[in-house]
Amino acid sequence: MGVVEKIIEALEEDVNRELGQPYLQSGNYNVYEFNEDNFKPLRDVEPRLMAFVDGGNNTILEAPTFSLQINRIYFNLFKGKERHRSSFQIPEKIEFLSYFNVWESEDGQIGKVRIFPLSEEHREYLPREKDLIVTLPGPPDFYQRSRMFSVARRFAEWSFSAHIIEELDDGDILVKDGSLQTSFEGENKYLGKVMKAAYKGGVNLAGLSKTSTLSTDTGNSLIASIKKFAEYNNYDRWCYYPIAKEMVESMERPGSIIMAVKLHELTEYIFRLDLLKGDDDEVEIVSAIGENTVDPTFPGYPYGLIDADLNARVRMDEVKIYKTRILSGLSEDILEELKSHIRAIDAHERLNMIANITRD
Amino acid sequence: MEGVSIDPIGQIIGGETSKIFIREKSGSRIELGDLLVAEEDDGNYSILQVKDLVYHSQIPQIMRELASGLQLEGHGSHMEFLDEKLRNYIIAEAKTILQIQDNEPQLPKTLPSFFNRIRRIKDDDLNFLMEEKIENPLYLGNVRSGSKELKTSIHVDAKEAIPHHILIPATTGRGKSNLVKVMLWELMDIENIGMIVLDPHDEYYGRNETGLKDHHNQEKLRYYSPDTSNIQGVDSLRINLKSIRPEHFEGIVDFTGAQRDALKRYHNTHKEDWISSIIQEKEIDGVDPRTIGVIKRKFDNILGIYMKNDQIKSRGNVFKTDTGESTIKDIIGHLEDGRIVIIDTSRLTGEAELLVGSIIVGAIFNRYQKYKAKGTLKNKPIIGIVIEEAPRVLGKEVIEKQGHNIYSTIAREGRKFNIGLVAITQLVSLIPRTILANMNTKIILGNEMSQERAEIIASASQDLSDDNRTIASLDRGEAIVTSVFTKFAVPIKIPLFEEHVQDKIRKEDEKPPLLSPQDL
Repeated sequence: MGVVEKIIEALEEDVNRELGQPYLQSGNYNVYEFNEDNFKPLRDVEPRLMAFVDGGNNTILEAPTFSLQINRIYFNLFKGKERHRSSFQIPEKIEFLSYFNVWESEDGQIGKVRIFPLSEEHREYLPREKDLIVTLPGPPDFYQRSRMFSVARRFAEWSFSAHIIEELDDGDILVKDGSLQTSFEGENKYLGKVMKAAYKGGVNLAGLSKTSTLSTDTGNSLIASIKKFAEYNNYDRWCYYPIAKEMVESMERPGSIIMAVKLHELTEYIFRLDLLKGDDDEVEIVSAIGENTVDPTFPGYPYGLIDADLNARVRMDEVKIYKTRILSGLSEDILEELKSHIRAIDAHERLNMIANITRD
Repeated sequence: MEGVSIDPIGQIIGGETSKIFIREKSGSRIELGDLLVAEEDDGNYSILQVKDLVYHSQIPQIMRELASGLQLEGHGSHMEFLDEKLRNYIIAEAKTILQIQDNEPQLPKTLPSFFNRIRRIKDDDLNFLMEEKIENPLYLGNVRSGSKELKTSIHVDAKEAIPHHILIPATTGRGKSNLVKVMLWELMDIENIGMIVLDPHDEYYGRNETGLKDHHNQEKLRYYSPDTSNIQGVDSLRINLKSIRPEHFEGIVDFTGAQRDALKRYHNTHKEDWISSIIQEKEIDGVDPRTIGVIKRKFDNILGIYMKNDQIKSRGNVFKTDTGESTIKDIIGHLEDGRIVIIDTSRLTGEAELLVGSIIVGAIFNRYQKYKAKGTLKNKPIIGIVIEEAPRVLGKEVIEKQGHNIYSTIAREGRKFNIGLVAITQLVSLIPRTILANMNTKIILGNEMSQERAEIIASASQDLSDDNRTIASLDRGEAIVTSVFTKFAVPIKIPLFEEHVQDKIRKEDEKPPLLSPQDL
């Protein structure tokens, strides 16, 4: 048997594996077994005001012990398919530089972040520096740490979202790129604040994940399993819930639900959707989000999130501008010293340059 | 950007001096040829003209193709582009044609500010045109922005423009005759300009419709026609054969060397009766009778004169032996008095029409040469010659084959003697570049033929290299004036003659009659 045939055999084994039942690593959720009654067809609904939020960051300088990032958080408003001009008292975009560096502590190495808003007026929408202290994973490994460089952006997405929710009304929806689960210590505090504010204001909070690592207990992709399971219903667009429900001790808000959604009849994509709803019906909310997914560039994915991604994205030409400004402001001694730090990790960039590849 | 006081219809987003990219504000419907204004904070502004329009989209081509497919194949009922106006738009490619600095028009040497917002032109932006002092303003039309007509009118100084020759290139149906009618109507009010108009369609006088005969200044107009029936104020077009000399045929009729030689011999021998002698086949030494036979047939074809019962007859009733001795002299006199003389050549062959013109123009040219020699030319009116299908006399082939004629001579030398051509043609490409270069005002009407457009563009007084599509898309009555006497190639809308003169006729009719001494 040749190599290719062996791979085909392995793939077939995996694809034909039993669906199994949903499985979540996190212990904070009640997980529900597959049930075909959990499929609900989406319907045509009255358009709702929706805020779509996304963030982006890119590296200006990085070394094993520090990283300077440029971050941008952006939101837009749509009412169904129509863009809605913001009359909010908050900016639609906030931008800041974040400086992450490594400190030695009694408990090992920790990462601290300092924040420099590009406009001082934007500071109130940003997380506090004292909340941005994370314990670094060991053993020290740069590529594990690089995940930490986005900590400021992730926190800022939550802190800015909390302000956006303040401007939304009962029944409106805030859709954020990604899940409503956290990855960093201290992040829960910010997410909790957003959730409480949403629940208090009757605002529905949704997190839509383009990719999902959720699986079944047989090791299958949970989303792929639901897609297969969905073949037994005739719905053009649907939501499947609950996959899991968050367990919440506090009475200040209910738990969020994890669902799977197919938002447009012509899409092959099924997404994970985390939802913390107010008094509204789940199908009503998902259907309202679905109204925004009719753009032919990506049917089934909210156009508001496409737009948010484009506007939040930090491009290389922007990075170059800041990099030039910062490096040209340094004294020669400091610059030489800095270069030795940077050179410790920038060989990859140099190779890209040789190959005439620019990272975007 | 703060200088923009009215609704912007676009914004500069890039480009270069010869091609500035303007994103169109959705729904603004920017047109090819539109005049746009980019204001600067200091009050100065640039006038841009749209040369091309291009679709642009933020959506990749493959996505647009898919979206279109979904719609066309019936799958698109639940699909539509969101933010369509933001993502799909039109880019207008424009060129700065003029910059106004401290109210003075200048040729553009800088780019308008990047990201400057653009608005439509308004009449106030063209105040510098109004302020120009034109001594003998010849109205051509109103400034046009795309297909929209402004109130600002465009004039050239008739006494400057005519001796420097005017070319009107256009294909059929684009409004050539209308333009000439409007120009002649306006010239009726300008003193000291004589115009000879060879009118092969008998359309300018207005025999049966509105025409120059309806102008209040009838003193300035003379109309010569072979048909004087049922019409008042017409002079009979009778030209005595004695008025014609051999050189009048030069470059007009294709005679062989032997025939030309025969013409001269007959003229030398029989003086002013030379044509009659040929028709009568009076033999002279050194001329082959067969040559005379051929010339006689040519005269029959061209002049319509022939022998019948031993008498010379005239078929067209224009070239005569017994009358019309003073016609040419009279016409010259009218021209020297600054009158417009319309010659109805509708019953003449093309060659006879040119011959009539040649006789008149040749005579006036000779006189003006003498006036110049005497130093009295400055007291004489400017003379203009309106000629249709100009390549008949100005064409490369004609000149190469038959040598220069009086029209081509005037095209080259007329300016020195205050005589100019108003040449109308569909086929500019037939006219040599050297003559085109001498035509210092061109009123370009619509033209579908790319070769003709290329010639027009190559010989224009301003850079029209980006106007190929614009010229092709000029509608009836729309034109571009390119002239050494205008600051820029001005797009104009020529008014419809009947509408243009209607108000003027009415106003004239409403004027109270002049009081007689008795009334006073």
